Amino acid sequence: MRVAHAVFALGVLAVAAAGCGARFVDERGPRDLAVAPAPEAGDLAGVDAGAERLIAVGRFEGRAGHVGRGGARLVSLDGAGGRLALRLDDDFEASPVPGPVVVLTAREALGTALLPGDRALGTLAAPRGAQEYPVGADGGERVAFIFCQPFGVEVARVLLEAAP
Amino acid sequence: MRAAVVAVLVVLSGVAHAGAWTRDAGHHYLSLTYQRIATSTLFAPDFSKVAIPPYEQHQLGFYGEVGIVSRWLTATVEGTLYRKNRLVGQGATDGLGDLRLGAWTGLVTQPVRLALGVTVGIPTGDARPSAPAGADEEAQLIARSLPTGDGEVDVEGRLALGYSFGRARRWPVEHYLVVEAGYWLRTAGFADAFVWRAELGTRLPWRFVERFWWIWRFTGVESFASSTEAARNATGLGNGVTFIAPGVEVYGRIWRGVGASFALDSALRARSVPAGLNVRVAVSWQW
Repeated sequence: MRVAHAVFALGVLAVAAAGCGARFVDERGPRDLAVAPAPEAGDLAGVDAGAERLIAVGRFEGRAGHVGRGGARLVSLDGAGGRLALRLDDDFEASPVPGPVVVLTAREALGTALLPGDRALGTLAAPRGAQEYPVGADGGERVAFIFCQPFGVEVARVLLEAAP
Repeated sequence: MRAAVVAVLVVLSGVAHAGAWTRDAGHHYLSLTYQRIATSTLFAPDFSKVAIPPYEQHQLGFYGEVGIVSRWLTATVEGTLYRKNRLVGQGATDGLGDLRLGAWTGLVTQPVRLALGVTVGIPTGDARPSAPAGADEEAQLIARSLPTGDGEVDVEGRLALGYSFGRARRWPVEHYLVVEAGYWLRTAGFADAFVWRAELGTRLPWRFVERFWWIWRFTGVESFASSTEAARNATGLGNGVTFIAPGVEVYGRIWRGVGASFALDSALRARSVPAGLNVRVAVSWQW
């Protein structure tokens, strides 16, 4: 019977230990800046809103069974292509996933990892609704992704076509 | 016949549910299990397989049963003492996993066994791990994507039907068959699920090999979550987890009540779980 008590003591111990969070070990090597950093949001300060120009538009589609819908626009904030921003429309929606980032790239598929030249614009602020991400200078990239970075999974993609 | 029932008890106790054969008062069972999954593919919310960076999952768990009232009440406890989730080259979390407490009662004992079990899941694991203070945002994202628990209290009710047969003059091979079905009531935004299991065990009657049970099983979970809801987590601890997994196991009696088992299973159809071979080894003791 003492052993039976020990079995249940294990359970009690497990409950008691529930307050202990998991430990995290970072396995990333020295950061090689494989992903071009996006400019800080502060870079948009002082931009003349009246000079905005629509560069490209498109609509999101889901990838690998994820939900992806809604419009996206690439706009030039200074009218000359020097400062761009990616805007997700009110009807934007993507599946909630761990570690979602917004990526602007020239590639039509990301595979499982970002490569040099892919621009990580930042963590997706919300899985639905309007939002804006500063891009910086126009590098000619016209494909945007919502990408689950920890698991390397494409969640949603939009092909941005030149605005009429 | 009693020997057959005892033998069936030996092997059935090695799995995660007490099932149809409840334990007599004063009888106990304890097992320690290690299981591992290593894969580079994931079952997406639409049941397709997609490539991911190499992912590993290690678990050290225990399972215990105590017969409190013969036939009528067997108490169970099952927990993950240590769980490690690793995204190779990115990060890993480790710590305590979740716990399940349960009770089974025998409704029918002849000519088949029918038992009803209720288990309660207690979220002792960490559903939202975090990187140490000062870590960058990406490290936090990686940590949060690797929970060691589901973070919710849940209740599962399950009916288990068991039947042992064979060991007759014309068919000396011994078998047991278990069919289980249940409802998994979940909280904290998780969708409920239908759970089931079908298992056939076989033991050959000859010297030495009669120490082994050869087991074939199908295990399943059918979550009622939509594909949108199922997209939250990919470690097998998130909402919408669904799978049909065939598996094989061999259990060997070593000495008296001490035994060991080796099992393999892998999902045929699934979503929101890693798509890899689950390898499990266990040592067990019953007295």
